[in-house]
Amino acid sequence: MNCSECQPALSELVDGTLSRDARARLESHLEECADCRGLLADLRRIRESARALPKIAAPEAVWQKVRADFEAEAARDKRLTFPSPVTAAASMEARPSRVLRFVPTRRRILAGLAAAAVIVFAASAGVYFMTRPAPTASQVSSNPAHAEPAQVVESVEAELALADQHYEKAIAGLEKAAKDGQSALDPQVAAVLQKNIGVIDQAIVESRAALKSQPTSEVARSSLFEALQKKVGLLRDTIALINEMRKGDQAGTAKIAGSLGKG
Amino acid sequence: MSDIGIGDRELAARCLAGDREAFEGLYRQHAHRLYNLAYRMAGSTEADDLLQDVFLQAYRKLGSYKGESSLGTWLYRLAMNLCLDHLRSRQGKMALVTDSLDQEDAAPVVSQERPAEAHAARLDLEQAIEALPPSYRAAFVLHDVEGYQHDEVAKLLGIAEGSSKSLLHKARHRLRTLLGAEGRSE
Repeated sequence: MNCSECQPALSELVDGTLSRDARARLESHLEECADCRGLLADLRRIRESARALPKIAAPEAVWQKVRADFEAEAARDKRLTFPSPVTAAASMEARPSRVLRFVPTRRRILAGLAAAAVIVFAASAGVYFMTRPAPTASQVSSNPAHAEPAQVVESVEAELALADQHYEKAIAGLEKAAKDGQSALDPQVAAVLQKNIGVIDQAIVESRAALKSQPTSEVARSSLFEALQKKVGLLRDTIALINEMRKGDQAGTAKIAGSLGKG
Repeated sequence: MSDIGIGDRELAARCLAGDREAFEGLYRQHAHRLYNLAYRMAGSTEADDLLQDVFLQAYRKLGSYKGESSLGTWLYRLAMNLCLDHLRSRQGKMALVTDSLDQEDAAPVVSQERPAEAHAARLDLEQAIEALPPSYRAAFVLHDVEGYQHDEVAKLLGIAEGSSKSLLHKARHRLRTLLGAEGRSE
């Protein structure tokens, strides 16, 4: 056995994976060859040093970023975590006096229904406005009246701004109604709802920033209106939940709590 | 290293359903090992971003996890693929090193008056590992640093066992050159 035949087997000798015959041949060569003995010693040292490398702990800051990613993705996938229907119903059972305290008067129900009708109308108008197919850049540019690129951008931006206003109006109304009735909610449920609204708000802020830098981006636009729609849906469900809790309807409460966030 | 945890599929399902506690449990259970892989494969400056990306991709791909292997193995393979993609992309951009099996003339990362202290030796080794081509580095990190056997390395990298042995051998030789150890043994 010469050096060039010997060297590929040295790593296996270091790892102890050579057959007995191959090992015997290799050791015979090593007795005569100082160069290969030197190489073997170096390979062993490298392996031992590698095994001795310290383990490094992941910085906690990475988890914060991973969590933010997860929450944004989960919100986008409509997979926000809400208390299970059982939890929501159980928390109501544990506080019967609270439910009774909020049994609404006839006048309050009528006022609430009227307010809700206005809000739902506003929200629906916003949803209708946004869910109708928006003109794509190519569609707009096929119209001679909008042939200039600058005009295309201007037109899209104007339409987006109008739609955004509709959403904001609907959301403002829903937020007010939800805030007014929030005391009827179990604190735990209210906290979860608030947290999820925070996640959606963050998505809205990020989408707006993306849209600002790329006004004609379909992806940025869809992302913004998806987040806005999600917020409208969540607020609407919140109001429905408040109404059911005020009525003391445990089955209705559990049903709504179970559907919250599934959008 | 391939024991399938009893609750792996359940844990994956809970994460997919948006359960943050479950996702944090997944992170806490595996982040340490994955971070070390990213740290050894990509270096300290990029390990944080890589670990973040591993978990983002994991969430997005959890739907494809069918429980054939443990969630830990599944994550590890995902992390290794991301590390290799990252290295190849960086290598393509920088064109500093090649993956040629013939290249044995790499410049040493240490001087001949290498300090004797263990700390300095460790830094030398870490620096030398970072100078290895991606495939050499992957085989070396998995086998010599993380302690995987060749059959496991082969599965993780999607190569034959013989290729794993060959890559490891070449990696050790390259490291010997990079560490300036040639001619100083015995």
